[in-house]
Amino acid sequence: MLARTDSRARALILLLVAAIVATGIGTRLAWWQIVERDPLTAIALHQLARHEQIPAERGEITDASGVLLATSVELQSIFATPPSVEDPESAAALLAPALSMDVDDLRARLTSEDPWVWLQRRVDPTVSERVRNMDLPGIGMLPETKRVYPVQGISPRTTLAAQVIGFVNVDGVGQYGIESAEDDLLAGLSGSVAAQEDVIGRQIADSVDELRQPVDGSDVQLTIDAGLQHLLEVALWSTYRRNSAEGVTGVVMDVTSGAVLALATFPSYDANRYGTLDPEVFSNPAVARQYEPGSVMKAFTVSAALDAGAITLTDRFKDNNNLRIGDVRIQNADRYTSPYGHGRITAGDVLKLSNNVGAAKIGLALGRERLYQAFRRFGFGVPTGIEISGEASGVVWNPDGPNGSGDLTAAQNAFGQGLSVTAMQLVAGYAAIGNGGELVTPHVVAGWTTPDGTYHQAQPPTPRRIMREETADTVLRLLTDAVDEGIAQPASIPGYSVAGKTGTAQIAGPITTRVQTGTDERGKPIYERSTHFGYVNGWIDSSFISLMPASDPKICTLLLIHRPATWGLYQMAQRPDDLFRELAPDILSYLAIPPDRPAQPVASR
Amino acid sequence: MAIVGARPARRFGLFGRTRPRPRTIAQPRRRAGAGRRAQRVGGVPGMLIGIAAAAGLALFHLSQSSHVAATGYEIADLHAALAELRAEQQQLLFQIGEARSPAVIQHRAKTTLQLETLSPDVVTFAQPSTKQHK
Repeated sequence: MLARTDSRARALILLLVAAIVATGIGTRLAWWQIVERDPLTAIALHQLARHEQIPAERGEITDASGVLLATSVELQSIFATPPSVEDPESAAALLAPALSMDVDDLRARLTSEDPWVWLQRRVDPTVSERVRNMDLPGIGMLPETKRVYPVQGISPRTTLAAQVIGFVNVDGVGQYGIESAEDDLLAGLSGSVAAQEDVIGRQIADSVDELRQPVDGSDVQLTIDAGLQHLLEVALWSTYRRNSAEGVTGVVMDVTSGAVLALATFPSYDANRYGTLDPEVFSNPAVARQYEPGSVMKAFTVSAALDAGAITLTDRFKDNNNLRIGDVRIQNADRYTSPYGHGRITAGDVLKLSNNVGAAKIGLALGRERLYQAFRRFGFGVPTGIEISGEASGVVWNPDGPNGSGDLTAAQNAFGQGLSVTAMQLVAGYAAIGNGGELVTPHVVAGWTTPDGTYHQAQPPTPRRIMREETADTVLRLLTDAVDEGIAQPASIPGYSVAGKTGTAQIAGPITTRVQTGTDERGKPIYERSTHFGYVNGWIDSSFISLMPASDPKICTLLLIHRPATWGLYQMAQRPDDLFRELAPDILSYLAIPPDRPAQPVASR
Repeated sequence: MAIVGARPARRFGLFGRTRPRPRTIAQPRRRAGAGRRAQRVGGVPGMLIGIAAAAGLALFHLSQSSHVAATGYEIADLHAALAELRAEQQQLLFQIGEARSPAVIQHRAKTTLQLETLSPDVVTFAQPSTKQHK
């Protein structure tokens, strides 16, 4: 039997135990809740925190009429978590054909010790659909943005105007062309969000701590016309193959505004599959490649001399096909058919005959310094400023500078040798002859539309007068005569007046020769191979530049064939002036430029 | 066997006694403590009401939080669906761009429609009208 005191004692003990337990729990709770509050909160927030970038949408690139040339699409990238892959052997066998990957490579990735590996990034939707349907454990997909270029080019595995547009690399950075030059405009600014996520990684609503909205990139509209670009690419692709050339370049530019309407080069590439290609093909030769232009420079020599009043149209220069400056002998390209030259010729004859001796004499009549300054005024030796990355400046030596050779430099420059230019510089220079003497800045960006829908028209620099209007008109007339009556006759087209100039220049490169270094004991000569740098036989750049219609020029075109297969004295399968005669009517029809002459039979070659 | 003089059982916690202590003391004393007891009785329902209100508020907060979370997930799902649709739209735009490629059109015109390229010589330009239109 229990006494009353026993009961109280038990109750007290129980109370005491309960109090101790409660105190312990309370103390522990207080420890976690008060003392350890901050570190625990930090751990919890870290576990829940979700901080991610919100990528800005890259702007589109369209042609002058709105044809989509570059856009971005969301594609799936396929990854694997190797520890979760149940049967790597069969998974590799199933995935390999779908991903067009090597089975062994795939198996190696699936059995990798890494917890997470990419299998293939940015796959086509059909491929991602196939992989999704396989429903393989340990294989997953993540969406990623890919830049795509929808308009196909004329040649297999090319996209239209690839070297004008460039491409975007896997990190989303523009490379080459407009993609690189206008990267800031196109890319926009990415945003970020700091929020909390649940156990399966979904963002918890109403948990956003910090939000910075992305600013999408602007859509860029080019001056390039996709239709005209196609016409140019068709013609260039044809001549590229016919001539077995190293490369071909074509430019069509509005002479008044400097807007480039078409700019094509071959070899070209598919901007959607740039990863496997030789990077050399990415740069745009029209702006990046500097070369000796040859006779097309004679128009600038004549312009400079006429503008400075150093010569008149009636002045005559003796051409005996032999101009000696120091040890160097300057001859004409037609030295085999006219070995003694053409007698006393005018500046007009120099352009008609593409006469080297006459051009050199005009250059010397103008004076070394004035010729050099005139070439600089025409924009040679400095980049034109076109919005295509990688533009070269070309090289024009001052004849009296450290790299110049006095009269020899001036005489050679006068007919386009001893200096280097880019195709775009030449087009800009000829445009000045066609527009009354103003140097325009070639440009390919017409304008851009910001994400709020506002269109901004590009404002190229104000054209700069580089010669008197009368001089430009006079040279334009002389160039028209060069096509109507001169050696550029193959370029004449029915119904239109054309002002133009052909140009052929040798290309320098390494030349290996056998040099006798002595004789052996039996008297036999000993030869050794010697390599030096000089003009290589058969290596040429052949070009034709035109202004159409010559009565009131609207467009300037340049067609350049780089290192065609040649035979004889620079014979080739299709000369640029022949190509021009095939292409020009299409361009004029496309641009709806009406004829300025009664239709007449094409002049016989 | 009952324990003589044993105190009635008490519960630990907020509610205190479960039943009143037997009253053996004279009436006047009882009357003297009646006000305090009445106050004590009035305090318990108040506390209960407060607790019920707090619980109600907590439940309301919980339901609202759940509702917000659920709506958030629904919005996220809609965003995902929108993103999928946008991806499909982008693919379609890409395919339209491909189909509109001049090279593709030219190829189809020549192979499927058997069209021939028109010679530029046959293109004639309309002369501008000399008549003044009123």
